[in-house]
Amino acid sequence: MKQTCRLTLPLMVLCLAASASFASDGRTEISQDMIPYQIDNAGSYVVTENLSAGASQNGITVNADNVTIDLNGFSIYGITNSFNGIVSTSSRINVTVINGSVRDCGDDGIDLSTAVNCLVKNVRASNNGAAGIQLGDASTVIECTAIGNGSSTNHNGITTAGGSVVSACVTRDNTGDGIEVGNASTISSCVARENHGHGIEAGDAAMVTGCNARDNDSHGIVVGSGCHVTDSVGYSNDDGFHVRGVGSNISRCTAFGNLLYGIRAGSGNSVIHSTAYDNQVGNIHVGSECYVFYNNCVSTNSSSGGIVVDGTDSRLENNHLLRGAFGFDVNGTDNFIVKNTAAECTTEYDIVGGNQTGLVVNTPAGAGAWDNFNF
Amino acid sequence: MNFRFHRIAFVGVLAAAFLTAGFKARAENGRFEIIREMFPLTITNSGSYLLTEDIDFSNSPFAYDGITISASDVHLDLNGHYLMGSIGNTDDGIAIDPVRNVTVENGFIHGWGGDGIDAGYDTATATGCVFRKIQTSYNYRDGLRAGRSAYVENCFALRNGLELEDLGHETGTGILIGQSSLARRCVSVENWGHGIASRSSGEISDCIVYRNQHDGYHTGQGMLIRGSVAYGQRLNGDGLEVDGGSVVVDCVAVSNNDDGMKTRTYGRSVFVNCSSISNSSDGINARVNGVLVAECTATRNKDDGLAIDSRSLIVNNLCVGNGFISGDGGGINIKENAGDRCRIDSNHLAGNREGLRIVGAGASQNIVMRNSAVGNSVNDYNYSVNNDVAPIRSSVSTADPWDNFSF
Repeated sequence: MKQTCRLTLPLMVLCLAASASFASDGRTEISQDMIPYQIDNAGSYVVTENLSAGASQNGITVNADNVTIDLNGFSIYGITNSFNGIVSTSSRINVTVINGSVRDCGDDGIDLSTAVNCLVKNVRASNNGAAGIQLGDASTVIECTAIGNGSSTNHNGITTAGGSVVSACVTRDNTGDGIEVGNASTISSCVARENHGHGIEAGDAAMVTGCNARDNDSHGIVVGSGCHVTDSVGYSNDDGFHVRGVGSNISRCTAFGNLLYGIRAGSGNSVIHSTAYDNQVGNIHVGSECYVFYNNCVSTNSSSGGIVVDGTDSRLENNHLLRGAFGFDVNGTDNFIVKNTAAECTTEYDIVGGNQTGLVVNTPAGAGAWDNFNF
Repeated sequence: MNFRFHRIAFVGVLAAAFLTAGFKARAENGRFEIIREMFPLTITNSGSYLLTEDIDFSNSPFAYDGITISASDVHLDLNGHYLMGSIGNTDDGIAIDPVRNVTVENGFIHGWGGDGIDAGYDTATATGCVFRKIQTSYNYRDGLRAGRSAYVENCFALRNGLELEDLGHETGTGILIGQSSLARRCVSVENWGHGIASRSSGEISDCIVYRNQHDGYHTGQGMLIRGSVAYGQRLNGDGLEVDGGSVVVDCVAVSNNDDGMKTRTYGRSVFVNCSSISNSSDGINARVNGVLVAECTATRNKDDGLAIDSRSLIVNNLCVGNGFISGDGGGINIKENAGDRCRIDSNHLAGNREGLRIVGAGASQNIVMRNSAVGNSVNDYNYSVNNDVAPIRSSVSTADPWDNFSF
């Protein structure tokens, strides 16, 4: 019995000593003397101080599934020749990073592009040499900022692969896009400003809601096919909104002060219930087979105007176009242009032959059902 | 030898202490703490419980449900931890009996032989449960079965039921919500069944379903589905399939292996401001009675852009490039023999195989007006005589208010 007690006590001390790297809540603690640190087991990890990655080092390497890293308000920061702040190896799932900063790393701030179902929340990624935050399929980025990332061109603030959610994030002054997401993703309540690529760029089947893109070097919000862009603002970009694919819908948006077009919808898309004004080349541009109705366009630029149609087979109905060089500038044929109103333009209806255009009349009194108005 | 003996003794004492003391170990905030030694755990009293460490049975035989909740009014905070089971049995990560008002939040349920969480779906379900920030993955059957009148928010389901033989469409589903439940801001990816399935009279909003094996969304009657995305469902999977009396608004369905969107059986559903693109069958399949489709876009679907039956209102839609695979497709196609008394108004049909097609033997008394059709390959309008089609004009200058256009 006495011998048992003598053995038990040191073992308990050993147990306590072995758990010295565990926080009181059972999480594994990560401190500077462990850097570069590789996580090889699932579990919860907490950073206990600022961590610095040296030359040719990653800060933390995730080599396991089901890992949560709580930065606990601390930073992972690098030097010029360091690698990533946090990086995953091979195919991983369920990696979470929360509550802290990754900055000044030589490569990406967070690179979990080999992992699916990542969650990055409340993280500040800034001044990293490549991307700020980069995640694989089906990931979520929420309440994050990505500012000043990319020492050379084309490094995005936030990048996710398909099936991802980006919400309540702010990106600014990254050398690529502010936010880029893959197919079937949603972006909501985000701000992208002064990025050197696009503000927000999405693949197909994306839902962009309540976003604001301003002063980006390329377009404000770019989407592919089958996307919905609603309740968003594009200001002072190349195009405010730019659709690359077909079957997309831009509705309830405002585009103003953009260097090219406010809304450039391409072909096979809809533009509905939106406002575009003072965009320098034109307010709305469509190609072929579009449906454009109930939009309001105003231009104070003497060389700009309302709606430009460079394709065929579109329907333009019930739009209200004011001021500028033109209301409609229709260069293609077989478009159906009815029930619009235009005023104060140098030329309200500049439409080539071969289109189906309602009569242009000056007053509703006695007007036909399909007439357009110039008043 | 000695070390092993004493380690076992030490753990045993700890376990005995907890077992005899029940949940007397409390966090500072008064919640009951849960540790590994308590597993398999059954919660029999209402209260607030906190998981304090990751639980991993993936490398050990464990033929029990991880946590069973058999009391009402339980709040279980997984505290960011993982609850990992082992495939090879039929047990759930968390099993919730038919009780009320259970909340489970903030954790990961991974690799269980049954469901990740099972609060029921049809009969004998829990009621009024809340699930927040729960991630289920690689469970052998369903990810999350939420019971009825549930609230499911910010939950994620990945690859549940994967590599199972097909046990039915609703086995291996990512998230299932029972009748009168809400699912918001959830994502369901690459599950073997549906992405998100629901019984009747609930809401699914701001969700994503992505590359699931069956339907992306599969719901009962009277559902509201809003602001949600369905992309790339695989084996005969519709992007979104609702039963009658449902409202689908501001949704997109792209590249699904069957219809983009579909309402079945009872009809009377609403589709507003939706886009359905590049699906393997119809863009919107509304081949039932009394449907409203407004301000939607259907583009490059292999069968019809909009497939319609009777007594429906189809207004202000854009249909482009549909119907080239089936051989009888069109932008808008009233297909059924009894497709009658629809109003087809102010749609724009461009570049489809046929623009508007109403040719079924019993397809009659549909009123067609103010539509524009251009550049459709076979016909802009193809309709049988028993329909009320306003004159089709090739010039707008002399047209009457209700005329259609073809040019």
